[in-house]
Amino acid sequence: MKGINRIYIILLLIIFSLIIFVYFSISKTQDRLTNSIIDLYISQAQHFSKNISEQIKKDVPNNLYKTLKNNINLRKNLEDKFKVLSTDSFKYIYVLHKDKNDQFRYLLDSSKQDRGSFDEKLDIDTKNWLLVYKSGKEKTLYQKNLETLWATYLKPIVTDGKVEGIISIDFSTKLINEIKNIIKPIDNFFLYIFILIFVLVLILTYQSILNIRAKKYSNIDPLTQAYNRNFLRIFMEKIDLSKYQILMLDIDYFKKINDNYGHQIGDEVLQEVANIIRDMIRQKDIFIRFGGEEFLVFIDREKSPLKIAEDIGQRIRKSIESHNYIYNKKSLKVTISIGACLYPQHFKTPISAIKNADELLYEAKRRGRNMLVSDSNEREDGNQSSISIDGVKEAIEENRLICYYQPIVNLNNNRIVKYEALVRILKEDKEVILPREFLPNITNTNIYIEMTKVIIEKVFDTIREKNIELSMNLNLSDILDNKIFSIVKEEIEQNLSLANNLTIELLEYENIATPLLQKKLKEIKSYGVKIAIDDFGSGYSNFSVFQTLSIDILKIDGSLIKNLDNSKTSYQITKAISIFSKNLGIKVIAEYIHNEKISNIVKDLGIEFGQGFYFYKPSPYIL
Amino acid sequence: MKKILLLLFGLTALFSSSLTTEQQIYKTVLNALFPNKKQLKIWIDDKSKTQIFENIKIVKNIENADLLILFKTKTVKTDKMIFIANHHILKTYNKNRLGGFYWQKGRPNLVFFKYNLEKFGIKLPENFKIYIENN
Repeated sequence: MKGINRIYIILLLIIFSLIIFVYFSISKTQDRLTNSIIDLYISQAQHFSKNISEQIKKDVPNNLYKTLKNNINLRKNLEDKFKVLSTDSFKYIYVLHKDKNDQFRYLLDSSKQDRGSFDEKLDIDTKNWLLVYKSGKEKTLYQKNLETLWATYLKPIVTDGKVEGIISIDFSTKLINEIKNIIKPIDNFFLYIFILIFVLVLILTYQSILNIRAKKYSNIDPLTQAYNRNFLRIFMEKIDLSKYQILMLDIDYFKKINDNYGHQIGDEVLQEVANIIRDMIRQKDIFIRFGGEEFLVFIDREKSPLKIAEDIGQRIRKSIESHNYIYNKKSLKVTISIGACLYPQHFKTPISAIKNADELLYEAKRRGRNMLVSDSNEREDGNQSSISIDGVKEAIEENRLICYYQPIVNLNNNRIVKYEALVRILKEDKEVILPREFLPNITNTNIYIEMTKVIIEKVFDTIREKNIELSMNLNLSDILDNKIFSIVKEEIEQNLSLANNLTIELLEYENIATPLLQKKLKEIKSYGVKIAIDDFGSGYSNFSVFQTLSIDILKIDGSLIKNLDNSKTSYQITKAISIFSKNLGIKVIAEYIHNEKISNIVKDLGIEFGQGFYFYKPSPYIL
Repeated sequence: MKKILLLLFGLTALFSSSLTTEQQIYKTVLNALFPNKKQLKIWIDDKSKTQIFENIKIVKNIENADLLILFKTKTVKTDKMIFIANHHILKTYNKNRLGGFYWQKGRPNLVFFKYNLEKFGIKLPENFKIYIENN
């Protein structure tokens, strides 16, 4: 949009420059034309005066003044001859001579009007006339001070090297006006062109303004005057998430307002709420109507306190709560729930960040509405989240992201066959933080990707150092995520010789039979990596997974194993899983074996491998 | 003086109407002719030219006038001093014309006649000498 506006401005500048160039070019041309015409007339005057001079010299070879003084007929004869040369343009044609007092007097006057008598004085521009007398050279005088005359051409009559008189031809201002009339159509032509261009420019400018306004209004919600989703779409293409915190706001029980009071009142409530929100935010914040009664606010965080969005969100909430809404003499109570995403920059995309704000909004609704929930404080279980996104980032940077290892044993001889790598964070005070304390905070963020890379590097380092088999946990969504998958693949490719020692345990809880997943798992397996399904038997376990994916290991969920000794259902399910896995050639590991009794039951069910506190707890060491 | 007059003509032609030019010229000329006259009384033959003589008393009868200024009339019979404002009637009043101011060939012309100046005992300032004709 800005680019198009720039193009418009450049075009306008080019047009203006062209207009100015054409104007000056035409002015120059006009001047040249004018000068050419003037030169033409002066040239004509030169010829006339030359002829007059020759005629006078012919008729009066010498003593011009004396001869003419004594010969009236000669004077009349000459004047009549020269009269034919007098026109509207050559207004006066006469001959003057200078007396002893430098006064100029008539010798001859062939003018058709305003004639002077012989020897009568005429007040002229004495200085220039004297110059002509002295130099004996022709001269054209431009009469700036005389209204009816434009120029005077002077030609001295020289006899035997002496100036005896000056032939004068006065050009009427009519001449210059005629020239101007000749030029005028060009002037007018240019004027019309200029007007046309000016009108075009006005139209162009008007169109641009209309275009800008249309674009502006196409981004504005007409009811609330907030930006609309169209704007959001464009905004998200350019947004730098590190510059904002996000508020997702939703009017509580808005459907009831519409149902009880009608849509008109509903619209008025929306408008009032929007106005309050707008009053509470700053000019640099972006206010968007996201849905029917949902709003998004992008709070500019530059040079602002850490939790600026929370502060603004609370102000908005309190203002809306305390505001008196009166419609048709009825008082209405309106409240708003808010989700505040304080770290949108940790999310891969703006949509993920908005989704996070939406989830927090949902949490606010779930807790009773008319509140703000942000991702800086409480989680669902009410416990204080130990590690925030920034905390995890710091842990990675300070190498406090570590692996704990829990051995998996062969139940027949209790020998350790492999280990499961479990991610932990070591706090500065050496407290060990479990994944449930930080993983939810970093899901769908770039930090999660970073963490995955670090873990897989550590896993391969341990495999290399200890020459053991190791398994690590990934979600199915991680395999489907191109970034994470490429990191995993890259690490495997860099450690090809160790790939056989790696098992990837996939958390299976969604419908996973997608061709893409099959393709990616096949690719990993081609390197020699084994694939295990973790927590099988819980949640949405689906046996069809064995039809579509080539699984090497199956880990029975702890919820089944824990209850083997007191739940028939758990026992039968576990038995069934053991049998069909064996039939399919899939190895089975029972998790969460916490005592000898359970261990024995598991062994009796024909399950080969076990894991749990009964054998070993996770520790930072390889045993 | 000629230069001053011409400059005056030029400037006034450029920046003001011909009316103002003529006012200035007549003021200068009449001042030069009658420097000591407290209240000069003139008679003019063209009432449309009254505004040229704004601050000068214009009389209705020739008898009461000190000076006649003639723009068009060729047949005024008087012995009073005359100032001619038209080249065409300049030669008509040879006996009592002091001088004249007229436009000829687009140029302002000023002339005084020595004989009549002396006859009426008028002495012009030195800088007007160039305008004085002997005949």
